[in-house]
Amino acid sequence: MEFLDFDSFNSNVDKDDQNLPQPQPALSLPITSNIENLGKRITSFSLARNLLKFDEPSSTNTVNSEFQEATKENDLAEKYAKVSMTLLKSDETHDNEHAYNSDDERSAGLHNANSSEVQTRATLSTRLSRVLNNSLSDSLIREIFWNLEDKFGTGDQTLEELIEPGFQGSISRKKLRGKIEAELIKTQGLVLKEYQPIIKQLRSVEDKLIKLNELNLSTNEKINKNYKFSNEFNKQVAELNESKKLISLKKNLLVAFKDQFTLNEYEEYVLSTGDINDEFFNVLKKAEAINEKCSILLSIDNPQLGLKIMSKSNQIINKSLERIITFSNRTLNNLYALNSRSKLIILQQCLRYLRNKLNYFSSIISTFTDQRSKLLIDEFLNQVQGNLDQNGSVGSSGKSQRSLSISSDHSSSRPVFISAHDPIRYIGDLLAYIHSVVVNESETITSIFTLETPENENDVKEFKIIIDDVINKILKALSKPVKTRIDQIISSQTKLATLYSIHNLLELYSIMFSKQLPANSELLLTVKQLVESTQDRTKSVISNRLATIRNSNSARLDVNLDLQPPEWIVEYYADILPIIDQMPGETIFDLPKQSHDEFLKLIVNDPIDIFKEHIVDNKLIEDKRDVLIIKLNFLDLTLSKIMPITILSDKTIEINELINELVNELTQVQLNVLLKNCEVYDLYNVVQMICPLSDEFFEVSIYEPIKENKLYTKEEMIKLNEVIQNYIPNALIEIQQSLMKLNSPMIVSDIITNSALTFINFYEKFNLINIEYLNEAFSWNTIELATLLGVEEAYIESTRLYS
Amino acid sequence: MSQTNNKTNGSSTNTNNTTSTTTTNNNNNNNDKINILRKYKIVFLGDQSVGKTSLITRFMYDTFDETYAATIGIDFLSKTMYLDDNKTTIRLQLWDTAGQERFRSLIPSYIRDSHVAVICYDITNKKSFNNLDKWIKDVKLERGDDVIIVLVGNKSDLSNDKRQVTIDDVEKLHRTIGSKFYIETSTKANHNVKLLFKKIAQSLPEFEQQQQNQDGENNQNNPETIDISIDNNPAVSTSSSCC
Repeated sequence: MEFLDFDSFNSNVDKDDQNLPQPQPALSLPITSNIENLGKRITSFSLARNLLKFDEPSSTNTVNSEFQEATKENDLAEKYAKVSMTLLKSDETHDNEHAYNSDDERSAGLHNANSSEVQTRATLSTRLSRVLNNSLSDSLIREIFWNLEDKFGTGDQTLEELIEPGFQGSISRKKLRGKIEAELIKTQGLVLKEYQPIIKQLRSVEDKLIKLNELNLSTNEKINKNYKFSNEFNKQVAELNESKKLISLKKNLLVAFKDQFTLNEYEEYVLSTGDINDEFFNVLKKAEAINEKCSILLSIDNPQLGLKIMSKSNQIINKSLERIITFSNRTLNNLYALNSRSKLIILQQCLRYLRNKLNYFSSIISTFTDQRSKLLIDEFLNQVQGNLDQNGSVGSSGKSQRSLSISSDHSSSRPVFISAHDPIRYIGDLLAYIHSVVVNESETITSIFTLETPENENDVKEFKIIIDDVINKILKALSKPVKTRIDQIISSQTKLATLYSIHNLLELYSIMFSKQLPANSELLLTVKQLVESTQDRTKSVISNRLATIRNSNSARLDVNLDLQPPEWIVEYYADILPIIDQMPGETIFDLPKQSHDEFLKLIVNDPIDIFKEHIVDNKLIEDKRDVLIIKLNFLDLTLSKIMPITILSDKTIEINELINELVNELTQVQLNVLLKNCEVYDLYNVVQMICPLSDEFFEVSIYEPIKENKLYTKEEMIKLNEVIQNYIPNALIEIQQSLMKLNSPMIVSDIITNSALTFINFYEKFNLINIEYLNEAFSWNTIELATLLGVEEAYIESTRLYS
Repeated sequence: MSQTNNKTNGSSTNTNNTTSTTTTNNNNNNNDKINILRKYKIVFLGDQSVGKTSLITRFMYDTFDETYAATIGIDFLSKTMYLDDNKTTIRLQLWDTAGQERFRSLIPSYIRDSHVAVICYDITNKKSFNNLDKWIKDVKLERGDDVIIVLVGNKSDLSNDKRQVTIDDVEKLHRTIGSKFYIETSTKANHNVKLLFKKIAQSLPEFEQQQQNQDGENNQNNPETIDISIDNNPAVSTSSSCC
């Protein structure tokens, strides 16, 4: 089945359109193809996709390019939509026209037969010409004609009728034409009927498309509008993003700055009015860190910010510092507060913090030590002076009570001043009281300043030093009053025994205190000073006593003809030596060698000197022998007193030497008496002058010069022999009587023996000289002489030794 | 005088122990706070070598040193004691005196403000027991009756072989002088040492007062309850007034 060309129908409708193509010979219905094309075109119409694309906001360039593409496609779609609409309209128009043409033909009928025939012919001819002129293929033409032949063959019309020129022919042809047209119409109607649902569908599609178009338009408009808006918006967004980035960067900077350089309100509150606790110190640490970091800000071009922050943080830190100081002072002022462990820990935190701020720390410690010192002094004064205004109870004032309860309870005990009558007990009580105070104060201070939560070993060490320092400072206050009190007692003491007891007491306490206090403690040093004071006082008492003796008339009167040591030396040693005897050390009061020697001189030498002075001044004792005897008696007494005391052993040797000197002197005196009484004194001197007899070497010939002496004659020797014989038998009694006042029998014996032996020695040798040069010998031999002088044994012993 | 005493080295280090413990009991009322600061002075008296220092050393450090070293002067140690299920805390200040005669003159000054006088003797040394009279006299002279006297017979580990002082002797003395209680201890065998100090602490006026208060409260709560606890230790005896 062939149809008229789609375009051929358009030729009638759009007569004005000269560009339209001419009817083609091929009878192909363009509807299908157009519809197909349309369908194809519609499928390529990607409106939805474009719309979707518009929904996706992207970068501006993408949006623009897509937008342009979308616009192109929109144009294309619009074009096809228009073409489709035109096609539909033209189809409609064509149908209408076709119907109209059919109606025209029928209505015109007979009225316009001629004109219509002419028109028909013209049409026919035109059509035929079109058919014939068209370059149809032969097969197609044959097919057309074959179909026509079928029509002729089967109908009642014949070919002849058709080709008959007459009316019948014309009718036949018309019939045929009518037949063919009817068939054609029928066929086309059928065909068109097939398209009816499509048309209907298309119409419904048309509505939809119209709506779609409208929607599309409005969407496009909106899209355009939105595009413009979104374009601007995107720009804005981009700008805002940029600014956001900058702002967030700034924000981050500011946040970081804030974190690093500022304290928040809460933190400021914590520092300015909050409780002092761990949090407080953490915040304070932060504030200090800010202050430190401000140095970075100060190094920038504009240091104002740094200065500002620094000033603010400084202000806060200073305020916090003040609060810490106030807290520390207040807590230390009321030690009851430290019953709470948490409060103690906070206080220690405060102290640990202030430790690096020496001036503040020192100020707190100073306040605390001053306050404690004051309490201790008050308490001390109550002990030593009493406080009778308060009904006899010691330290009953509120503050004192508080202090007492912390240090120790002395309220029930008898105050120290009660024992003031007994200096040793008083000092003992005083020092025992100080001992209690020392241990109590040490305990209290140690408990306060021993870190509960030490950060490291260094902390512990540092606070150990602080503890010692604080204890020292607090107890230092007691040093002066204690020193004053005890010094007062020491200086008023004249009894050496009491002084020595005080000395021992003080020395013992200095040992005991050294267990509790550091070596550099003022109180310990004070006690040591007091020990020295006692030593000085002892020395001074002894010196004074000796000075008194030196100037005392009664002491001088003690030196008399009984040649006995004076009473004062007995008393002096009776007082002093028991003390010296008790001293356990190698030196007196464990003094250094020089001081010890000075002390010994005071004890031993000075009395001897005083005594010698007294003897010199004494007119009664002028005889040399008496002087020697009284000196020997004095020294003998001294020796007997000091000999048992180890510490005075050096002086024992010294005294012994002195005694020996005096003994020798007295022996010489005694010898002289013997020689004089035997009237050989001059000859003895002559012999001694020639060659001393004490020499071991003896040769008679040496003494030949004696002959030159006028007295050296035989007669003189006979006379001398008689004198000796007369005197010697009584000599011993005489000698013993003269030495009767010498207290030491040993010394007496020594003197007698030594003088006698020397005399016998002289006698013997002189006798040999006489025999040699005068041929004269004494009557008695040396043994007889020794026997008469009472030194027989000693003489025999000495001869044995010589032999 | 220049002698040193090894036994006393601990005296300077004891404060750490005491301070750390005193501050732990801060959860109570004001009374407890006062208790923390309350210090009681206990003076140990007795002849030389009766074991005063070893008694204190055993209590403080729970040690016993066989070697004897005479105390020079007066030593000080202190310890915190918790009583009555840790509700009461007291600080005992222990003053260890030298028994040697030459230090005798120091001792009255320490008795002067003591709350408790622990007079020690050696149960194997009758002389040390006989000398208790002198010590008691010193205490009475200084403190009158305002002191708690405790008689302690040390070296009870030697009681089987060398005992010279019987329980009856000390019982008699206890009744005569009106001491708070008497007890026999052995520092070497660590016998009755803790009990001694516990009883001393319980004899202190504050504890007694507290006990009375508690008893009062208990009586109010349990008026029909009677405390019938008995101390089975035959060596320990208390006076009628003892708690």
